[in-house]
Amino acid sequence: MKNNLRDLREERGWTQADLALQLEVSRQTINALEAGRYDPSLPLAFKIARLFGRRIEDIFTDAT
Amino acid sequence: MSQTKLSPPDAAMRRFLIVQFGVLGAFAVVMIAVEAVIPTVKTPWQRWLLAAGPAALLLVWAWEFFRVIRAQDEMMQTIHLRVVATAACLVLLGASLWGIPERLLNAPELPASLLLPIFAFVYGAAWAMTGGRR
Repeated sequence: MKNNLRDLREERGWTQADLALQLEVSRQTINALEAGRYDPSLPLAFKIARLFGRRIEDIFTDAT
Repeated sequence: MSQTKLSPPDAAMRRFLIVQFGVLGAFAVVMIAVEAVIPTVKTPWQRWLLAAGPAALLLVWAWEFFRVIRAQDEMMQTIHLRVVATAACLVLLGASLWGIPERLLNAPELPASLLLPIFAFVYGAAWAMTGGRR
């Protein structure tokens, strides 16, 4: 699954640690999400969407 | 917005690494000290009390270990559990391999009290190779 998490984070001038703190996950998880190495659970995807004020499908897109 | 504060999973992991270093270091020191002192102690209950010292330190380590895994997020928990399984298998394999010459060739016994510290070391190495590189 692709995502534009890095762009959204950088637009706000946040570091990965800043985003990790707000989502209450580890910095490694943010790194893995941004690199597309990890697909979040639905609750985490909703949390991310709420934080950025977007819909889940605006952030995550099916890679196929 | 750059902050120096760590997220809860990162803070828990940092705390665990510090606690682990202290507890396992204390375990080694207490074990050596108790081993030296215990032959001079005559009363059985005092000997049991002395032996409880290093045992309590291993229990503290185990408590902290489960606590840090519970404090991790969904992705890190999965990695932790994978690393735990790998480390446990390696320690069991090593202990069993050691047990063969121990049983058949009268080789020195593997001290069972070292299994948990060995697991902690193998787990740390496996974590550095898998979880740490993310």
